[in-house]
Amino acid sequence: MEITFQASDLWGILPALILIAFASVAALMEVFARPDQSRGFIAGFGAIGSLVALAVSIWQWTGIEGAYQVPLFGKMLVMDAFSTFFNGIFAVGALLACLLGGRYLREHKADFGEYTALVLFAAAGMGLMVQSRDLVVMFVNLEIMSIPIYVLSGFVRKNRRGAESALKYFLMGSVASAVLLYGVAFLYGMTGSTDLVAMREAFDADKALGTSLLVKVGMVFLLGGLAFKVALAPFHLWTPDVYDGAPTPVTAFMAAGVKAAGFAVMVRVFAVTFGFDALEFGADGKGWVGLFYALAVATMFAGNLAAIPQVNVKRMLAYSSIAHAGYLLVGIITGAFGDLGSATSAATAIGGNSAVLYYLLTYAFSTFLVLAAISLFGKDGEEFVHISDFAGFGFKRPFVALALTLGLLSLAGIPPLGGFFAKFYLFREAMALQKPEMVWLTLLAIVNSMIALYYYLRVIVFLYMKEPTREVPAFESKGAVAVMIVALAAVLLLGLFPDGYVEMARRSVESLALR
Amino acid sequence: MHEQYVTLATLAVVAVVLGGLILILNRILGPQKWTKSKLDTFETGNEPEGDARHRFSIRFYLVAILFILFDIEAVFLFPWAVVYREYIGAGLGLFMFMEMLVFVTILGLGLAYVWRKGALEWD
Repeated sequence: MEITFQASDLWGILPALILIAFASVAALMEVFARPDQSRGFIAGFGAIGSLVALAVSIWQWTGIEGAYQVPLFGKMLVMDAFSTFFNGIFAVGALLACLLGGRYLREHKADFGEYTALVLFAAAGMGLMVQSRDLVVMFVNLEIMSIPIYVLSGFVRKNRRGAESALKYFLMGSVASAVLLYGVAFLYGMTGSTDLVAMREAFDADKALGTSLLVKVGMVFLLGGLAFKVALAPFHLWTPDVYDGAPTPVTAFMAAGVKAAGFAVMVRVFAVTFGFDALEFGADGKGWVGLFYALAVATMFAGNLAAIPQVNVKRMLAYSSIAHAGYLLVGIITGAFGDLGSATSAATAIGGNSAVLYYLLTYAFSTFLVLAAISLFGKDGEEFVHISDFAGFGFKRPFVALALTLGLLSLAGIPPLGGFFAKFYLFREAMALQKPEMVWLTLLAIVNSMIALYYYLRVIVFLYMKEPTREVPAFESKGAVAVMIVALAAVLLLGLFPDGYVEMARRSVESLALR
Repeated sequence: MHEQYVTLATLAVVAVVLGGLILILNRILGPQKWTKSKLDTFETGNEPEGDARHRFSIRFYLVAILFILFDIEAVFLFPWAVVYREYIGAGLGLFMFMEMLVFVTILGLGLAYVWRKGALEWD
C-alpha cells in the first residue's frame, strides 16, 4: 500500500484533532490540579475546546462549494459536507455535555476532570466515525466513541445503578461490536475490499453478488451492530437500564451524540453505498426493504408501548428515544430507495436522508433541553426522576419547568417547535415516494406519534397540575441554564425558520455520492 | 456451491474424528491405574497448595491493564526500528519519525496521567 500524506489530510480531521488535544490536556489538568480544587474549570476548558471545534466545523462548512468530497489519508477517511454537518452536531453535543456536567458532578460528589476528557474523546470518535470511508477504520472509530461512553455511564461511582448500567452497556456493546466486525469480515470476503466505494463497485460489476448468502449475512450483522448503537428493536433492551443508570448529562450526550453518529453511519452505509438498488434478496429485492420495514415498525411500537407505563421519567425518555429511532428508520428507508438530496417527485422535496439529518439535529437539541432540566433533580449520587417528584415544580422554578415542557412538546412534535418540522419532513418524504408500503409505514409512524403524546403530556400534567407529595432536592446550576437557553433557542429557531437548516441537511446529503 | 470450502470441511471432519477416536481408544484399551498424585492438580511439579479459586487483589488488574497498554509501545516500536533504515532510503525518514514521535508523545501523556493519578503506587 502506498503511503500518502498531505497537509490537507490534517485540515480534514481538524475538528477531531482539536477535541483530542483538548481532551488530553483536560486529563492532565485533572491530575496536576490541587486535589481540593473544584473541577469546574476543567469542564469550562472542555467547553472552550468544543467551541473551537465547532468554529472549525463552521469554517470548513463555509469552504464547501456544491457537492464535494475529499478523500483523506489514502482513502481511509473523507471530508464532505455530510461529515462537517455531523462534526458540528457532535461539537455542540460535547459543549452542552461539558456545560451540564460541571455542576452536576459536584452535586453528586463525582467531581473529576476525566468527565470532560472522556466526553471530548467520545465526540472526536463520533466525528471520525462519520468521516470513515473504510469499514475497518469505521469500526476503530466506533470503539473510540464507545469506550469513553461505557466509562461515562458509570461515572458517578456512588450510584449503584450507574455501575450496573456501565457494565451492562459494556458487555452488550462489545458483543455488538464483535457482531459488526464479523459482518465486515463477511463483506470483505465477498467483495475483496473494506473500502465503501470499492465495495459498491463490486456490487455494481456483479449483480449476482447482492443476492449471495454471505453478503446477506454480512449485511445483517453489520446492520445488527449499528442497530445496537442506535437502539433499534430488537437490539434495544439495554437502552432503558443504561439511560436510566447513567448520569443525566451523559444520558443526554448519548441520546444526542451516539444516536446521531450511528444514524449518520447508517445513512452513509445503507442508504448510499448499499442502497436498495445494489442489494436484492427475496422476490424483486423486497427482502432487504422488508427487513428495514420490520425493524422500523417493531422499534416504533416497542418504544412507545413500553414508554406508556413508565413512572421513571428517565426510563420513559429512554423508551421514547427508541421510538424516535423507529421514526428515523422510516427516513433511512425512504433514503435507501436511492435519492441523494435530489427531488423525488415534488419540486420542494428534500429526500429521506436529508430529513433524517434534520431530525437528528432537532432531536439532539430537544433531548438536551429535557435532560438539562431533569439533571437538576438529585444529590449525592441519587437522582430523583420519579414522575411524582416533578409534581408542583412548574411554579417553583418557572424557567426550568418551561424548558422541560417545551422540550417534551418538541419531542412530541407539536408546532411551532423543531420536533414538529422534523417529523413533518420525515413523513412527507416517505409519502412523496408514492409507494403503498411507505404510505402504510408513515401511517403507523403517525399513529405512534399520537401514542407518544400521552406519556410526554403526562409529565407536563404533573409539573403544573399536581400537588407535591414530598420535598425533592433540586440544585441551581448556571451551566444547566445556559444549556437550556441554547437548546431552547435552537429548538425555536429550527421550528420557526427551518428552511436554512433543511437546506444545510440537503446539501450534506448531496455531498454523499461516492466518487 | 462453494467448492473451495470442501477441503476445509474435510479437514475439520478428519480432525474431529481422528482426535475423538484416539481419545476413545485410549480410554477403552489403555491400562488405568489412578493414584493420588496422578489425580492431583498439576502445578509445575510442585506440591499443590491451597484452592485455585481464591480472590486476587483488584490492584493486579490495574497493573495488568497498564502493562498491556505500555507493552503495545514496544510492539509498535520494534518493527518500526527494524525497518526504519528502509524508510530513510525511500525518502520517508522524517515522516515516519514524526509519526512515531506523535505516538510516543500520546503515550507519554498517558504515562504522565497514570503516574500523577497514583495508579503506579501499590497502596
